[in-house]
Amino acid sequence: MVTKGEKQPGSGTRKDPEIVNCREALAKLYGFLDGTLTDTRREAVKKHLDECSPCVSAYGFEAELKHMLASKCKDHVPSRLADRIHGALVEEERKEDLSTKEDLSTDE
Amino acid sequence: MADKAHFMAATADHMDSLYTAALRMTRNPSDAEDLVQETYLKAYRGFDSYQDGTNVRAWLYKILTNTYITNYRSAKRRPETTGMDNIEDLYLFKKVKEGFTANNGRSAEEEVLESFTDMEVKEAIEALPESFRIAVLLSDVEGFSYKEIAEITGVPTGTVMSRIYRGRKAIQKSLHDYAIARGLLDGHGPEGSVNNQAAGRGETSLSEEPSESLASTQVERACS
Repeated sequence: MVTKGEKQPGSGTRKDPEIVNCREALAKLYGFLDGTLTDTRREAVKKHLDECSPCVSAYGFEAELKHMLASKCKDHVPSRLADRIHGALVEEERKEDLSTKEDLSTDE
Repeated sequence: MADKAHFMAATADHMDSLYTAALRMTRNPSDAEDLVQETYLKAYRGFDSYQDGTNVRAWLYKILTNTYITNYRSAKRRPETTGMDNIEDLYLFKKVKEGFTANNGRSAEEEVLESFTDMEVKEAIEALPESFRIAVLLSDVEGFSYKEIAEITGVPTGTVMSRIYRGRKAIQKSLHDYAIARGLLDGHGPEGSVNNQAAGRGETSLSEEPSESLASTQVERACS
């Protein structure tokens, strides 16, 4: 396991000091999946995932779960509701037209 | 007042997902229909103040959420305290690793996740206390960012994150109970049988303290 601050072969002159361990990678899991990590952090987590299959497995599971929640939670508007909404908007538009005409007639 | 054709062109595509959100919020098809209709009427009346080019979807969800909170949330709100507060991180993942019963060559994770029905997923979300339910719904089902959810619900981003993280863990616990009921997972683990009866019935009990770190000792052990 790679720990923070541990020198990697050939990494002495690299500008990226963010080497993450499992604890840090898992703490950033939702940030990673929800797209809120900075580019540097994201890259550091990716680098850890390249080397750690248990973390990849945990990340993969949470990603799939998130995807499953979205895909198994869809409903379609009943056609009667779509009709009702269109009807209500037509009515609203008609009332608006009437009040505009009244405004015009009081202006005259 | 807005031009009706222009309004419908900008908003009609979002009707299905608004209805989905309304169903999860109200947990009642008749209320959900009324809520969506009211949302469209309010949006139509306010369409002049909506600025072209800004996020019409987030704007519609804000109207939906506010209308729900003002007019539809049940008068007798159940308390959102204690009970299932200490659900560990990666709850379902660990339970799947520990207690998968079948052995037919497929990955346990894949099999368990595929086994859940639409009804179970909807019930698991609907069982969350209201504020957690709305946060998870907007995030995981509707795909809004933390920042957008903060704007839609009018709470700070940190609170939004905490609600999403804790809500997700409670959902994992409900799903775990369904997997045990189906015999896919072994429920005899150290805490596997606790609260099995809670799945899908009434609201999960949660308080709104900050989430503990996601770091997980078990997985960490597996990693090192």
